[in-house]
Amino acid sequence: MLHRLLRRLGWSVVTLLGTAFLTFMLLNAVPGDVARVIAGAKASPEVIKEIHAKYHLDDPLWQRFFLYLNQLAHGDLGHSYVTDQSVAEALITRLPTTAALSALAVVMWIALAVPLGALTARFRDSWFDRSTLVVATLTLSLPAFWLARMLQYWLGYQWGWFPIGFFRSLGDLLLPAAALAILFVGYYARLIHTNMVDVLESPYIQAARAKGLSETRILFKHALRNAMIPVITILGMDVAGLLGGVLFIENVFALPGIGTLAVQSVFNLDPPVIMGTVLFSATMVVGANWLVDLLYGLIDPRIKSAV
Amino acid sequence: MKTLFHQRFQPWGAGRRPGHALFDLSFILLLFVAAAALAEPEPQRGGTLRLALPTDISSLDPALAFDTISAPFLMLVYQGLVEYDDGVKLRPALATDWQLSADRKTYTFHLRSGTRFSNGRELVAGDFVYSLERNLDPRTDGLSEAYFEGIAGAKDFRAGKAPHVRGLRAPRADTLEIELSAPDPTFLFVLTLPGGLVLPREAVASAGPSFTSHPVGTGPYVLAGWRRGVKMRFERNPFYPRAERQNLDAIEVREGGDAALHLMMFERGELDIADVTMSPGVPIPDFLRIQRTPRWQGLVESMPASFTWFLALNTEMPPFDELKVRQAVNYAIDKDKIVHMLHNTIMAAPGILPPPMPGFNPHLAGIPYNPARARQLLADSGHAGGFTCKLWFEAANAILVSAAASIQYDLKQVGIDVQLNPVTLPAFLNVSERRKAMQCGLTGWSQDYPDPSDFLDTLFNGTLITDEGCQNTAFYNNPQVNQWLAAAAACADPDQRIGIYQRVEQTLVNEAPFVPLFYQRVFLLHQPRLHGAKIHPVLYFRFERMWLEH
Repeated sequence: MLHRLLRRLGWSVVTLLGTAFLTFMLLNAVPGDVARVIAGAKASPEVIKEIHAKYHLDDPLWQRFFLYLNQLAHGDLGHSYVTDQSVAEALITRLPTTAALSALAVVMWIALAVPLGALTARFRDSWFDRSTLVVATLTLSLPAFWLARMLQYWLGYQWGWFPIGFFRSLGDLLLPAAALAILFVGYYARLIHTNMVDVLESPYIQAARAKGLSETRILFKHALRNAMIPVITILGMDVAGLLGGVLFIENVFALPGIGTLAVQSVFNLDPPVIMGTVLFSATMVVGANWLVDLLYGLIDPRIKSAV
Repeated sequence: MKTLFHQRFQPWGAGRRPGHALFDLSFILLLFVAAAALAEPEPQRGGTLRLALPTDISSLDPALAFDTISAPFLMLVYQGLVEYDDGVKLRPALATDWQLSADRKTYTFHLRSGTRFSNGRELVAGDFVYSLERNLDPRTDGLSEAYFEGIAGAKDFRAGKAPHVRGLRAPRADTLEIELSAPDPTFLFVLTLPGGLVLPREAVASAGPSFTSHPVGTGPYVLAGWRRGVKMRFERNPFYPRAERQNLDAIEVREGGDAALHLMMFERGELDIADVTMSPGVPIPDFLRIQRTPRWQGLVESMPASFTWFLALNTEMPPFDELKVRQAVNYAIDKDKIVHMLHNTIMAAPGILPPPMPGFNPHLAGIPYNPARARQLLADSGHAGGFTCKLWFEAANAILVSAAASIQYDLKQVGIDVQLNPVTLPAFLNVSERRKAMQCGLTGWSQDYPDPSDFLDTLFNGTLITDEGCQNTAFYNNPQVNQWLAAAAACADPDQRIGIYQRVEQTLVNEAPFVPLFYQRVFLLHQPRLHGAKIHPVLYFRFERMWLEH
């Protein structure tokens, strides 16, 4: 057991190191001088030279990478080249917004997807099932930034039902979370639907029916729990990788989260912040993998020994 | 010439001929009534000005912030010795007056008594010595040291050969002396740059690196709070003496969101100004819609910025080392078409100096659009069959993307095949400022201060050409022009200086190392309740002059 855990931890570290290495190399492959980004178009050659020296920009690439790793090992993610703010501080101050937005979105989509999935399985091939399938396919194909802008424009700007931007209270997160939830709800509804269809045809459900249990009890108490096992795995991975969708949603609604930080750092070509947001995202994915495995064990005791 | 004037202040009846006396009287009466109706009402105190910026500002430390977005916020918090009036002339700010020595190298400033920093401490001349020296201190990691290197002893101090800058002295608490190593007619303008603003040593020492977000100055407002990337709030500085620059209770700046979101919030009444970046920040279709909407009529302020865009032709690289080829390119480009494509959000540029700049020559003989003449010049230079060249430009700049496509089409009509090469800004700077690296490229220059030398000396002085980091991106070197530029720099008579610069500009237009393309314009769309939102020709946005009607 301990051996497995250690091996898993080792692979996690390798994954994060690989991510750091790839991101570092890609950033350095971008043409142009980072010193110019820091100092601006009008900076004198002396200032550019000083910046090169300060950030070791003239050192060999491998040396700079190991310098960065050494910094990481000491818990230092560096400082933004543009604002001089500590990257760790920038991530920590923005985490609550991203976490709240993601949590609200997950609650929304699960709250919608579970009954939709279960009911469409129960009433398979009905008009309700078919129309849900069409809507689900549509939401799956929507680009996040377009959907966010449309909701913002119509529900916020035109009809005035919601605030359209910036974060003042939790109420400001409703529309962005809804935008994020819509992107996932169709997919999850179909996923739960497929699993439920399988489960509903299994012998223990037939037995429950034979015992005279109510259809609602069978559906939501006995079938749903088993149908949710594969969903949990995918949900864990999606939550960890949610930054992809959050990135667009936060930017459209001007929410001060990690997604906005990531986009600004790319526009500013601010390597320490780009590295910080990428590593944060990678850590989330690796962490979520662990968490999903643990949850899996809790839901299905047969899997416990594999963790 | 009408574009030279601020749109809301165009003179009425210009060029009107005298007519019937009664008509004249009624016209005068009408004028009085109209003037009374249009007169700016008495400023009111109170209210919070609400703005939004697309991104976090870099810093509120004047030594570290050197960009047009930070500048108006620095001016809320800090002051310098001199400041601009409503135009481009300088007047005293924290200095009451100043004298220049006979050799034109030493300025003596007398400071306004009773000035206090927002921490309550009285300002003394030593604070200016500290603040100016701080720009030159390598430990500051400042961005504007080059502007202050003309102070005597600055280079020794930077090199660590002297503990202080010899040319900065405070003989009395209210007297500051600044000695230059050579006369510099632009030095007072340099003092208006962020590096010329004063800050107290003890506040910098106690805040350390966080001074950037805990600024202390003598300006009308103080930073009351800043959650980076979220919101900034400025409130009145209780020690500031001039109530007319503190009409607003507070200025609140939301950080983040794009121009489309800001415009929607503005139209919902959640922001008082739609966009405070160099414009048009709002998407062009929205910009056109706003201009057509009766509700916003008269509320779009606009002004040409001191910002010119050029096509730089590298005079050291063939075929642009030939005068006739450069002139042909100038004749071949239809600038009016680009202006039309961009819906007049820019202005065609006949010359190099932009309209708000002293020395701007409305009578300059620019090179007109004449493709036939371009073909003739190409034939005369042995390029009748045309040639191929690579055009570099910044891909993220929508104006340049449109301009590049238009230029490519125009040059194709005279036989020149242009290969478009869009790149990132750092990549563009990397190649454009390196010798013999960029054949031609779209480049722009905005003023640091309103003096023609800021454009002509910086961009065309052949004696300043370097192999790397060269601002003379055409690598143009004309000994005659260099001589004129040196003469202008040494000239004490402002009118004579302007005359020399106009001669230089006409020569540059004729010699064509650049194709002057267009002047940028600044726009400001504001709510009807906001007053005093007039665009300044140098600072653009002066929030401390604005007030809200209740």
